[in-house]
Amino acid sequence: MKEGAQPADKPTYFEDPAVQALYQMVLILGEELAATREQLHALIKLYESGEIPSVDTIDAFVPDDSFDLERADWVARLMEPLTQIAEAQKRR
Amino acid sequence: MARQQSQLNRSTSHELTPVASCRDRGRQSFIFHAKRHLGQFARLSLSRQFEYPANPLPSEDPQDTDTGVIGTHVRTGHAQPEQSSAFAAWSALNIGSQQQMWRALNDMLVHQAPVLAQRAETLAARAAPGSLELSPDLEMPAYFLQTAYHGQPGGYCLDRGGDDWHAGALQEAGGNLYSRGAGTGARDSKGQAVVRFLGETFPEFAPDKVIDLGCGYGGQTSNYAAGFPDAEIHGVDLGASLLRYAHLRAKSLGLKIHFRQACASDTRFPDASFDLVVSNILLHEIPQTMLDGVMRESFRLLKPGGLVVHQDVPTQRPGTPEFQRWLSNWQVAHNDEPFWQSFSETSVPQALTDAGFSKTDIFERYQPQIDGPLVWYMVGARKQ
Repeated sequence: MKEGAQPADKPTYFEDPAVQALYQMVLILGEELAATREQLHALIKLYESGEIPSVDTIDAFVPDDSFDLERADWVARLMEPLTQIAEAQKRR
Repeated sequence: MARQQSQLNRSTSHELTPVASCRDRGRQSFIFHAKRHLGQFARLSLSRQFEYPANPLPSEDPQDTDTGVIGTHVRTGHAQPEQSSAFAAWSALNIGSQQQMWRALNDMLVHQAPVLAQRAETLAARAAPGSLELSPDLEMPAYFLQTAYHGQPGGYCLDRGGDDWHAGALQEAGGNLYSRGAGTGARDSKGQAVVRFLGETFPEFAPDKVIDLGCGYGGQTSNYAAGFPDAEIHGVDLGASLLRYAHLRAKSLGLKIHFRQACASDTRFPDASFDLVVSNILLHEIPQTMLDGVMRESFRLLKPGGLVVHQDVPTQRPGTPEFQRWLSNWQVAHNDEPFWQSFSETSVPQALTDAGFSKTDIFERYQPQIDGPLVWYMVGARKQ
């Protein structure tokens, strides 16, 4: 039996730790919404194909490649403000 | 039936591979795209701050603003990404995405634990072409017990007792998702890169006995078994949970591999017992003294005429842009990579020479991925 190692403390990036916590909260929310979008997409596609959705059919549903572009687009929109910060700093 | 080498890569599935539910898929896809986006942001936006003279954020000390120096961090002629709020946001998101990755993968494994435990039991009862030799009393180096590599919960030393193989499953799942997020495609494999390198550089070389040092969950060891189907293949690692998983994984794939719990610098095999000694991304995960020990063990294990090849991250590549070096070293404090920087400052050829290899028999090569933008560092020697 070995208890295992714990990740090291990470550097802090903001004077107020609540700001860093907020970034983590945004990521958690983004991830949860991504999971919901995934399930909703499966549900709609199964309905469209005339199948009765169930936990098993939803889990077994494999979206086509175009849905991955939607996933990428959702993340890009979420991250857009970060790019704007960098652009503004570059012009300063 | 044993898998062909072309079937062994980052999309290899076996009986212990968890099947992502719809929800798992959504979470993991989010993390994958977030990592891709953050990597792209670093290359396109953060890197530009290296191209211009220092342009610091406003400081409370006007003198600082005049000189472009804030605090104790000075890099003449370049701006300091560490000082920008964009860097702070990027770092917070990057670390957060890594933490979310482990949580999502851990949740997937926990949800499927009953099904996977049943499959493991079936696999355990199946006759194995290979073997597993654990040493419960083996003394573990302190660094191994203290490092949660890449933030993996529990690190590689986690062992919950009994038949636990959780750390191995997490290492395979995490390695795949992390690498894909960093741009490496599913077809790429570090072990195959070494086999390819050997085929191109030493086309006549055909080993009878191969040992993979620091083999972890056995993913790369599988590639040596498939790449050298007539050879006897061994893998050693310190982590018991990693090795239990590696053994079951190899069974499921029909590969004959012998796994032993041992330190890569003290494998307990006789002198001159292998034709080929390999390691995959081991060197940057160990301290300098251990790296020297691994080189000495490589020399001791090799038969005359045998080859050693260590494959790792290309942190030492000549001509690497300063931004890339800076980004690479970000891993040290932010991604549980305590030995990354010491590895980048180490001369592996010198360590090989110190271990007994002749300078003229040492080689270095930067090998491009077959499905990704990165190159791998190959360094090794032939023993006379």
